Amino acid sequence: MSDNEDKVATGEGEEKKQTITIRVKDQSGEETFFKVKPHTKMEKIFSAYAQRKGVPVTALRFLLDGTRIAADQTPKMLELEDQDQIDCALEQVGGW
Amino acid sequence: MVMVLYHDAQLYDQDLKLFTQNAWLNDAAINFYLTMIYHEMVHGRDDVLLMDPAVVSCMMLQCDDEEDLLDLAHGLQLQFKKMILLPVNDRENFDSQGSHWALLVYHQQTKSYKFYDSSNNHNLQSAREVAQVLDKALGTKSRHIEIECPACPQQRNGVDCGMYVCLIAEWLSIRYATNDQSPVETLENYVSPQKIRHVRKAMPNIVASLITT
Repeated sequence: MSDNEDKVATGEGEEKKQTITIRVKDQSGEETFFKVKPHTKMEKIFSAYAQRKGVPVTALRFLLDGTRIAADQTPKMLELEDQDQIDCALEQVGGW
Repeated sequence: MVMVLYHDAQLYDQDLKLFTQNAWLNDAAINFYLTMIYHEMVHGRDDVLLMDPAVVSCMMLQCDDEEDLLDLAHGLQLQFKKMILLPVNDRENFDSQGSHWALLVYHQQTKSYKFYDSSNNHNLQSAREVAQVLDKALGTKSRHIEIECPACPQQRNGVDCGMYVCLIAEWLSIRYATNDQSPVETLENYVSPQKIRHVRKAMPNIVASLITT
């Protein structure tokens, strides 16, 4: 708590420590929350989410406003703000 | 777990194997192919959109209100697209993975839809639902949507529908980009079982050449 205030006060160093909450919404409408730092690679969220859901990460697709989020992007690069939502779609298949 | 990244399409080793092992294609495999069409065959023109099947699915299942749809429309710059190609899966809810792929095409100039299904229009109902949501995302007034179903090559097995979607999308995109000059073959002749076998086998080399250039 007081940590947060410190970061705001210290300027430059603040941004590195500042965490935001990102909401991951699945196709049933369920939301899962992750606290992340602005420079955390999104793949960390992806694998944590996959683990929590018990699904291989290769079967999940993460999207922001209709575009794919790459594993090596960060919240900062994606301009994600606190409480922003990303979508998670499941693998689809078809043959016949 | 090896992954290839080509523009923003991700392809895991296991996705690539779906091509060579004559398996059902998943959305990652199809998206990779569509991304290749976009960058290599129509040279990234910004008036064409080959929509990622995961995005189609997200649009159908996760955009609960108009605001979500508008965000998506904005993110994809939908209003600037003269032609939008949407792979349609028959998956109806989040519990299933689907079993069939087909291709819905939107033409902005005439605000009309065409639908290509290699299995006797199996996915026509799903395509109707996609068309309704796309109309909404484009801000089109509520209307009865006609979907035209041009002659479409038909698959003769239970595995290739995703390949048909890829190659039909390829034919349509190249035709669009060349003002109908090429390919000279008709759709039926272009998307043949032989071509499908050839492309499936060639995919590892195609992928390798894409990521080294």
